Amino acid sequence: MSARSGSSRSRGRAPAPPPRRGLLSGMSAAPMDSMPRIRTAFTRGLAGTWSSPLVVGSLLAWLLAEWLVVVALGYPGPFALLAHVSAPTPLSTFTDLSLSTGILGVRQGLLFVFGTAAVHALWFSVLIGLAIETIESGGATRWGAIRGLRAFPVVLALHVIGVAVVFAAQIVAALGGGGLALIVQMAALVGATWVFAFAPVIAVTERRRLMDCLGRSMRAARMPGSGNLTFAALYAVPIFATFLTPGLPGVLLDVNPPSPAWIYVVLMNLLHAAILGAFALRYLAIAEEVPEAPVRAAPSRERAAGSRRRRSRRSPRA
Amino acid sequence: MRLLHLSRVSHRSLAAVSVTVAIVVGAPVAALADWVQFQGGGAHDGLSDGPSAPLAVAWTNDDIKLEGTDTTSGLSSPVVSEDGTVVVVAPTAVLGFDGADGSQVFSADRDFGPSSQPAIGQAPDGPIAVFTEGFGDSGPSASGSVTPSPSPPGQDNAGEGFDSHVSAVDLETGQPAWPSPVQLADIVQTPVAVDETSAYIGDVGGRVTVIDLASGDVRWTKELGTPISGAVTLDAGRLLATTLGGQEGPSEIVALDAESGDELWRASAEDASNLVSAPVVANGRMLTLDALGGVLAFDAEDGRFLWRSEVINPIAPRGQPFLLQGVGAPAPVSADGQVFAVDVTGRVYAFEAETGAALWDHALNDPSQFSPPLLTDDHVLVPTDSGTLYAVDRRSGHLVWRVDGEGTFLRGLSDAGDLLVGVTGFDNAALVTFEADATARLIDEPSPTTLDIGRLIARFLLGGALTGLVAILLTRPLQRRLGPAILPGSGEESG
Repeated sequence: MSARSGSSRSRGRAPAPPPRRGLLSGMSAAPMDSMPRIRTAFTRGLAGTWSSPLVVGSLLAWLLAEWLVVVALGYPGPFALLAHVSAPTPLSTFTDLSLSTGILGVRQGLLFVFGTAAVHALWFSVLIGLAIETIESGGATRWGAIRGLRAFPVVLALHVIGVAVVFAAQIVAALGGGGLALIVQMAALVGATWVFAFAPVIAVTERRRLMDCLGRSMRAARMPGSGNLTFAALYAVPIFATFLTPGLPGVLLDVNPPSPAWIYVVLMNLLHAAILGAFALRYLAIAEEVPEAPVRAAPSRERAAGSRRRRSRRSPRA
Repeated sequence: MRLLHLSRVSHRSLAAVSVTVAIVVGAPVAALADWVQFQGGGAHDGLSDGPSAPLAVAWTNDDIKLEGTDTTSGLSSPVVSEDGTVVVVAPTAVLGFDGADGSQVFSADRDFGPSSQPAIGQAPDGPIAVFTEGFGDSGPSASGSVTPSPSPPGQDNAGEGFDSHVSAVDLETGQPAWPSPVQLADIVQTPVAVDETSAYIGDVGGRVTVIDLASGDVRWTKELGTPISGAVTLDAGRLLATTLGGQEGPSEIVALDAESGDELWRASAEDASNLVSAPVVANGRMLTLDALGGVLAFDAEDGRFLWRSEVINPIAPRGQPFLLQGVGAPAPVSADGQVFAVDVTGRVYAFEAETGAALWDHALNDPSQFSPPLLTDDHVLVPTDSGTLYAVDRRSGHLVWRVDGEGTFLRGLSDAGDLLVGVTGFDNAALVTFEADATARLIDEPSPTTLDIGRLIARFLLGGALTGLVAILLTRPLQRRLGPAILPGSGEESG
């Protein structure tokens, strides 16, 4: 099952490096045979996560507990913010930011955002562990949750990256102004979801280190014909739209959210859980085909000598 | 002028004696209409002795036709003279209405300009309404930049030719009260303030202009550097003006001598953001609001900083609970050891006046962007954008009444004696009045921001838990049929 054990790591003569590809060059490639279709992956993810009492029960318990805690800390609402607690970063970064600034104010809240991110990273790690287990075995157990904790460092790093992505997008959007702001923010969300979505799955199933997980996630996302960018866009754009949609349940200041608000928040979190299951399936199905990071060749003697000669020519004479 | 002053004092004294005698003998007395400027008096404390909840609509006048090419600014907040005449500024006119039935009693032309709240002062021939007019040289989109070369104090022709003036009309005749309008150097978006002798105007260029009510002559002007955020406040011979601040200067409250215009002191707080409201003086404290949610108190005597409490509202636009909204002026109110503020989302806050400690808050969840609240003996009255007028109990913070104002964007609540008068709408402007409703009974609703664990759990079970259960029941058969997605050990999709 482990893609790492199955991958070849020949230390002999290195094969010729594959031709360099552009960022989006894989979009025109023929679909990968081994990659489950988006619809199939989503159906699998939905059936696996939604049918598990442990996944659904954990999700409900987490939402109720988190709400009680943030209310006790002085957060007055809106409750709808919790709709994206279970989303991968940077979609869940807005929840991190809004909760921390909603409790401590804009000035102090921005510092506290990493505390909120750590708590959400813990929950996300548990959820991704459960989602992977439903994909692998058809059901979830508490061992899946424990196994998911392996992803905590990676998920926490992704939350930090998410904050950076959101701020960078806002700065660029502010410079562009108007309609460009929406496009930039949406593009940032889709892009970050696309390249980092597999990282937690890799951390759980392959026990790789942080940078390795991030790099492998990027390489997996960019595999030609995988349709990962389309999937990320189909997921992230409607979620981003909910940030801007007025009149959703639970958007008022109210610490006793009405039933429709609970329905909305639970459904959105279940949707995120289903998407996590889909991401897990899509990665596990192609794990053995993901190329390893290219090994940096040691500089040859000739190249090193040439480099020294160039440096000596450039250095000023005393 | 001296005679006029005495006659006003004696008039007020007579009124006060009448009220006292009436209270002593236990006879019912009608409240006096006396809301001649922003938030009632020169201190802008927003205290009303008029009716309080339960309230009902007394009359409305939606037969007000606004003229001009741009009527989107609607009517200004009203002011009320002692005889009950209600005066509002429309985009191209100053309008007077009978406080008893809302019928129009006069109309005077006005240069097109922001609908800033006028003020009613006493001139030798009777009460006059002082108002600002003109949109500068660049029309309604004028940014109101700081005047680059301010005229020396005392000169009354600063910026001659610039379309911004102060004018006055006689309330009885509707005719101009001064020989000519007073020229200003910049446009005005804040209410006019008055005392017994003068009118006080702060413009977006940061200049305070003081005009003699009797003659319309400029007594003095003073350049403060950055735009004036709210109405000029009058307290104990001092004039207090809030400056918005900017690159050229900090945001602070500047105290000037009301007679000479000499600067007395400047008050500011280190952790404050831009001050966005008029300084409100109550019980020796000077209160104001800053854009990042700060409610600030200074000593009204010497400007010494006392406290700053910050409100946090996650749904405030751009994280700013208090906003400078053009002519829609926010302001705190205070009485009996409490300070109250309402943010743009319609959340009401109460603080201890001595320390600034938070007492309670009530989320109305109905934005209140264009008007400060009004304070009665028992309630904080909050006009809102939906047109609903809310009454919140001053002690408990519970909602005790709500009444529909029969229009949207209710604002500028003013005490007209036995009535409260406000305006609604912008293009479709209307006047609305409220009266005490003796037949109704108050309600008692805690803020939705107060945790009710029983209700929370019930709603969770009914909404969240039920949704989860349905999700499980609907997908279990599907999952049984599909089985595991990955065939163990193969990495192949199974179905």
